[in-house]
Amino acid sequence: MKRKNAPFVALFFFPLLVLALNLHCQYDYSSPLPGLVDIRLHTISDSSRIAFSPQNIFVLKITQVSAVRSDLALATVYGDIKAIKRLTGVYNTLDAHAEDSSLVIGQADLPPGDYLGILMLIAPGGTAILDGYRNIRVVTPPGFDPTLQFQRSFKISEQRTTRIVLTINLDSSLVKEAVGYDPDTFLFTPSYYISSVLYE
Amino acid sequence: MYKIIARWLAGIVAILAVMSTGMDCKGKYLVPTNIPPITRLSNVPPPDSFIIAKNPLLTLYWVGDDPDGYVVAFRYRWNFRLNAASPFQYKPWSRVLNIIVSKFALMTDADESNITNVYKYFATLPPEGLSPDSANRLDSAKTLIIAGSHVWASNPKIIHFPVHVNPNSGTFIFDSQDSLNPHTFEVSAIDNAGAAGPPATVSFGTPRVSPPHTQITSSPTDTQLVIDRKSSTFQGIEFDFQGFDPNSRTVDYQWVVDRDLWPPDSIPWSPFTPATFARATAANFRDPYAVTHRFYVRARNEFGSIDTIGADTSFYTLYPPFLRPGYQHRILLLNNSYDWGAGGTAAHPSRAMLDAYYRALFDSAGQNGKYDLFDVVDVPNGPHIFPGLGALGQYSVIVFIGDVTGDITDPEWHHSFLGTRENMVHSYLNVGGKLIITAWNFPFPLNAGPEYTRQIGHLEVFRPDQVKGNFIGARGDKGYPDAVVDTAKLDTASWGQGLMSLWPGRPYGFGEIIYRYDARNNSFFENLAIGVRYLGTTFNVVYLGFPLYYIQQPVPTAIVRKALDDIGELNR
Repeated sequence: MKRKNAPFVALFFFPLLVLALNLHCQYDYSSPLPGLVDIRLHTISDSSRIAFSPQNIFVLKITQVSAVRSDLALATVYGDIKAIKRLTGVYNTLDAHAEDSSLVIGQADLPPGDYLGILMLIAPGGTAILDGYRNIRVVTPPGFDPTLQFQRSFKISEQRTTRIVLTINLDSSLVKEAVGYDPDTFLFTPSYYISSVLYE
Repeated sequence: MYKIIARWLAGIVAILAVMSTGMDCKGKYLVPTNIPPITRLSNVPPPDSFIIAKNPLLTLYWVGDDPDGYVVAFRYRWNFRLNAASPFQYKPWSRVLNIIVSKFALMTDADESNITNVYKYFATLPPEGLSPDSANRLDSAKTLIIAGSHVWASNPKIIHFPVHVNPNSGTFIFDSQDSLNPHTFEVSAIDNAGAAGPPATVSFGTPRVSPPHTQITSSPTDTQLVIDRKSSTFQGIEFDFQGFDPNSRTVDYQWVVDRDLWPPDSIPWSPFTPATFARATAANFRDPYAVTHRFYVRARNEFGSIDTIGADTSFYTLYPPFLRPGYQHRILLLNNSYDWGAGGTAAHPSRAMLDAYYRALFDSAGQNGKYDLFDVVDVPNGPHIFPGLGALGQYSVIVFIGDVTGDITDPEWHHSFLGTRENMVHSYLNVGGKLIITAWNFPFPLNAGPEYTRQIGHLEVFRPDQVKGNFIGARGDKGYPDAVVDTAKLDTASWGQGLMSLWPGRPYGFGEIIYRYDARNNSFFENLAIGVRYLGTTFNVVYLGFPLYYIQQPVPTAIVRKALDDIGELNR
């Protein structure tokens, strides 16, 4: 009788034992869900100087976008939420979408937390096209630093979207006929900042 | 019972004995104190000797050891005195880290209490070394902040002769104001406990060296138009110079204009720079409107000795009257056209006929009494009379008229706008002039040429339209009215029912199309740019690639008004 009931007893206690072990192995913390960062480009330009027009083109090539966390960890931001790597993005700063802050240049799921700003590696296009036919060479000053540091703290919250608008002021970024440069060139001296952070 | 008590007592005694022995066995010695590091200078004379160097530049070498740790840095200083009667003074300590990172010898302002933390940061970098950003900063002579202290490279790429290229040597220039200057150099190693060892010292004397010799190698010989600021087209009047000093690895310079006209205590010498040229503007003059000036330059060698004599030269400038306060707007009609002489016709007008046409045109454009007319006289194989810079500078606008050529089919006939004429108009523009060009066959190489047309007119041309009578007008843009060739002024037998030898193209740089080519029967040139305006930050140009004289009235009047309006001169 005893030998017959022994497996049954063992089988009865085995799940309880596994359950007890599992309960014991539970971590005492849970991993948070990510939040979405959505980075957009906004351009400011005096329309009497360079208008937002399909015939005007000045591109920025963006090769890398990173969010800087408060512990200085860098999180890479790709072109969109489904991207699996960063490709060089070419964005026309005189596009109508850039005028109304709807030109998306980066999206990513990021760990929640406090962030210090955005780093962006860029290269200006070699030529600005005005009125569809005027090709103005764009030059950079010696020692030009292609890393733009947009410094403004923001927060990423679980399952929420943080929309960041990066603004580039073309009126001061594209200097016409700068002293010491060819008169028929634009000197690219980027003037930029984070103009807004929206939490949705 | 007795035995039990005895056993208990024996046990207690034994325990006490063990405890007592244990207490007694505790160490009585203190933790060993740090042994300071040892520093040695190499290749120096014995401590009790004194040598005199050949010049104030010496390279010294040292090493450091630490018996109970490692050396994290060296600190050094030396003493000097201004003259034999002055007391000795010490330079502040300088500190160089005992490590080379990415080829940099690193200096720091960390004191002994923090220098180990700074050292450890660099000593524990990952195998790939410094981040590119930090390396770039160091190479650009910028500082890093490490553990709260500043760190910079002694040998960034912009310094050709660094003090340190490694932590175990330094090339120093010792203060040498007097004929003989004694110094004692001290260097100490600093160990990982932050302790500086006793210094290794060397004493020597350095001589005073002679200053460099300065020479001006080029300066302007002609009168120069000048303004009081630099722009993309006016970089200033250039002077080139050179300093000579066989003892010095580097020479730098400072310069001033009109030195003797400034108050002696406020002569505006430029900062010393290694540049062997200077570009002076009117802002550097004591009187910007003065015509005669004197340029002075002096050199300094790496030991701080300055050439007190320097070099100087005279030069001549003209501040354009049209840029001076109170100037009254005035236009120069510069007739550079071919003169068909007394037998001139409507198609081949004489100079006088063209002058009359332009007088009437500018009168009708509301400029009566606001212009002067200058006829450029070309005498074959004789003097070419063209206004000088002084004359051009009197006018806020120049209207260049090259409407009439000789026989357009003969390449030997042209209206000649070359060489010094081009250069003078270019100089006028570079300081802020305004130009309207109306010309036939302007880019022809015996006239202005295609390069000048590109640079000044901002029209890039490739080849002329040589189809007879093909240019019948131009379509206006940017507010310019359409222009139609006046057939009453055509030499139809030679030219057909329009003009030929016009050079359409495409705008260059900031040039904007104001006229597009209207061709009778050659679609290749159709709609190419034939008129361009350039509204720059320094100068403005309206370039009409066709002769206004041959355009049907009243459109030329409207064109003149619009051109003057574009360059801000219509209602002045």
